[in-house]
Parts: sequence; C-alpha cells; structure tokens
Amino acid sequence: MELIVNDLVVNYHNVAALRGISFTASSGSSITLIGSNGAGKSTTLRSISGLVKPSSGEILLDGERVDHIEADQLLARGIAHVPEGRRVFKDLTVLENLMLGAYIYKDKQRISQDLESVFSHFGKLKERIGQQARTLSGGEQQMLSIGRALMSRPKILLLDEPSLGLAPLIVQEISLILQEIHRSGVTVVLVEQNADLALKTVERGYVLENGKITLDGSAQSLANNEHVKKAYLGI
Amino acid sequence: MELLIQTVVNGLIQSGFYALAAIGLVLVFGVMRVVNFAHGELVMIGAYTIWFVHAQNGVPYLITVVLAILLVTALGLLMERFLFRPMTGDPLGGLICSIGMLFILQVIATYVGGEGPSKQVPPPFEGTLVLMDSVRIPYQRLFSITVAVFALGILWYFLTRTKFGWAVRAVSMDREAAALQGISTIRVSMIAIGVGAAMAGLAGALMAPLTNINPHMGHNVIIAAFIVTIVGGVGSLPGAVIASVLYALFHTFVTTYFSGTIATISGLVIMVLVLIVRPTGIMGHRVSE
Repeated sequence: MELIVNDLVVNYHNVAALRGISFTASSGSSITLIGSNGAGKSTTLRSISGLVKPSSGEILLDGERVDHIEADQLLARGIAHVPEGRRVFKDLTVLENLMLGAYIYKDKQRISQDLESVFSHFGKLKERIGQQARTLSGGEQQMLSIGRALMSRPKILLLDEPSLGLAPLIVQEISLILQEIHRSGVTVVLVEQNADLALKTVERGYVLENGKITLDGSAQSLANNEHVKKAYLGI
Repeated sequence: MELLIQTVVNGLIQSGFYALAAIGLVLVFGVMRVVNFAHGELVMIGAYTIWFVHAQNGVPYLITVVLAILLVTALGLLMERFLFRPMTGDPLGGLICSIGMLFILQVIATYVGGEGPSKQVPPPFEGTLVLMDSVRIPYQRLFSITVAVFALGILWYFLTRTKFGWAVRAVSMDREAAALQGISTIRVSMIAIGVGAAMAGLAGALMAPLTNINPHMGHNVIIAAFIVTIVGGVGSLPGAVIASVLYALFHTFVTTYFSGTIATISGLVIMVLVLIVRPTGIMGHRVSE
C-alpha cells in the first residue's frame, strides 16, 4: 500500500508543529523520518494514524484521502501505529494485549495463525504469554507493542522511536525484525532520533527540521551526507 | 460470640451493596475520566422504582427489579450521550454536569414520591434463616447478597475473559493506545456507563426493602462508594471489590459496637489517611505519563 503525505500542516494551539511536509512511501518500501526532538516526527505519525487532525494538506492511502478519518477506523484500512513509549496495556497479559491488536477481526483460526506469526518474530513473547505486560522488560514491551500492531495485519506499519531507552543489543534485534517485517511485504515508516539505526534499517530517509523536510534521499546517501553526519550521526 | 458472627454476616451482606454501587463509579471514572457525582442518585432511582412500581402499584418484585435495572441503565446512557460525551476531555465540566444531574434526579424523586417521611417497602421475601440457633439472616438479605455476588461474578467474567471486556480495560488504561487498536472509545464509554448504571439500579432495587427510601439516600451511597474507590485504588475494579468487603465489615462493626455516625466519620478518616500514606490505594498503580 502506498502512502502519500502532501503539504501537511498541523497546528497545536496556534503553534505550528508541521509547516507543510510532503513525502511518499511507495508500496512495499521502507522509509524513515529522522530529526531532533520537537522536529515534528511524532506529529507526522500521529496525523497519519488519525490521532491528530491536520489543519491543511492531504494524506492519501493508495490515492484515497484519509486525513478526516478517526483513528479507530483507520486500522481497518491497513495502518498500524506503534506509538512512542510502547503504550502496552500494562494490567493485561501478553496474550490479551496481542488479542486486542486483532480487535477488529473475528475469524479465530486466522487470528491464531497471526499469533503464531508474531511469535515467530518474537519468541520471547511466547514464553511470557500469560504474564502481565507491566512485568516485561522495556525491550519485551517494545516487542509486544510491535507484535500487537502486527496482529491487525497492517499494510503500513508506523513506528515511533522503537529504540528509545533500550540496550544496544536489543536495538539491533528490533532493527533486524523490522527488516524481516518489511521483507514480508509491509510498508515501514520509521521515526527515530537514533539516525544511525534508522538509516541501517530502511531504504530511504527524510530529514525533518522545525516542521519542514530539509533533505531526502536513499538511506545510503543520507548516511554519507555531511550535514546528516554532523547533526544526527555525531561523526 | 453470637454478636461477633452476626456482625460479620451483616458486614458481608452490606459489602455486596457497596461493591455494586462502587463498581459503576470506578468503571465510569476509568473509561471516561469523569467523577459521576450523580451515581448515588442512580441507586436512589433504582430504589424509588421498587417503591413506586412494586409497593405502590403491585407489580411483582422480581419484574420490578428488572425494570429498575433497565430504567437506570437508560438513564446512564442518556447521561453519557448528552452530558459526558460533549464534555470529553474536560473532567471538571463532566463533574459539574453530574452534580446538576444529581439535583435534577432528587427533584424528580420528590415530585414522584412527594415530601414527608421516608418510604418503606415491605420485604417481598419474608422469614429468616437461623444458623447455629442465634445467627439470623433474613431471606431478603440472603437474596440480595446472592444476586449481588452473581452480578459481580458476571461482570468479572466479562472484564477478564472476553475480548470486549479487555477492550473496556484497555480504554481505561490508555485511551489513545486503545483507539490505535481500532477500539471505539465512544462505544466503550456507553458500555461502561451502561454496565455501571445497571449495577447501580440493581443495588437500589435490592436495597429498597431493607432501607429508608428518600430523595437524599444517594448521599450515603456516594460517600461509601468514594471511600471504597479511593481505598481500593482509583480505577482498580478488583481493588474496589476488596475495599467494599473491608469497608463494609469495618462500618458494620463500628456501627454495631459504637454508632453509625462514628462509623462513617472513621471511614472518611481512613480514606484521608490512605490518600496521605498510599495515594494509589490497595490495588492502584502509579500512572506514568
């Protein structure tokens, strides 16, 4: 599924968060938006998944405008959003969290197939299936949050800072799993402050600064760009 | 010794009412972030339905209990649609609306029942079960506690074993994350207030033959429900049930050995102490935002 964001403007209480950004994630591609804190990365994802209503501009899924649709209706259109800070349901078990990812579906057989497929990515979750989500480590909660999103059979997966607060080894693991998910045909839109990780995980990148896109290109070319190196890779 | 056992039995029976009344307050607060001050009045309307339809007009008790549940549920749904939904995201607005509703319902009750002394409803179940020669349990109370436990059991099953129950709890934990799973928060709000109001209506209907019915009886109910909710941990349903049992036993003991007024005062003191020493209550968790 192809995602097109066209001249998107979002204001929070009359303060501009996005000043007209445009980018495309073609079907089956993987892209990242990198940028510093407050650049508008989360706001972009939140607009795509319907949590924030844009002031102007368009969001198109396979050519159809979706920027007026409520968040709980967008899931059925193929968008899943792994929010910043994991946001798992802490008093529910791992299994219950995953089942809520499949909330919009009724077909039990298909749901248990999806469950097995999530466990094939995240073996740890299977071991912890009956545990309350609050007892999981940060990395496991992140895996649960991604697994929950996969249960909705997304065509586009939005991820907001999945590496935040995690140990380097786990960050590596999550990067590999995201590449697996992408290879299985899901369009991946990754938002990261960890630009190094992001550019190693996806094919194409956009640099977001003060609510505007200032640079874009293949992940490779961005990783070699002097400005990106200095501002985001710390080289 | 007999007095001790009798008091424990009385306390346990009382806990059923507290739990039924408190659960709705907790559900609505958890899902909608609104403190529904009119919740005690929902219990009162349940009791008035029994008085008016059953005692005054002779409709059989059990049918009237069902009627009371339906009526109060409908009332709850109307409150959600016309008061709380427009006030989404404004907890203070919702609270003020619910206080307005509280007065409206009291006036309606006064209009229907008139002023004057409290109404009494003769117990539809007569007779008393006598255990060990001296512990007395009127059949009316036995019936009430059985129905209350049964209703709470169904609610527990719904919330812990069904996908829709998980969705209700998910919304109370994290509204936005729930919406991202395709869960309609409006639908869940309707369920929460519907179920909460049904429980309140049931509590009122069960209480009616055992208490004085008047337009202001909701006060005592809401005070008990607040104490139980805060001691149990705001937003925790198991906490509310556990706290209901503890508080009912405590209140009954103090009432039996001292007086009802002292019982209510010390209940409120305990609530304040819990707020100071352990603000999350027995079962509550710290919320990190």
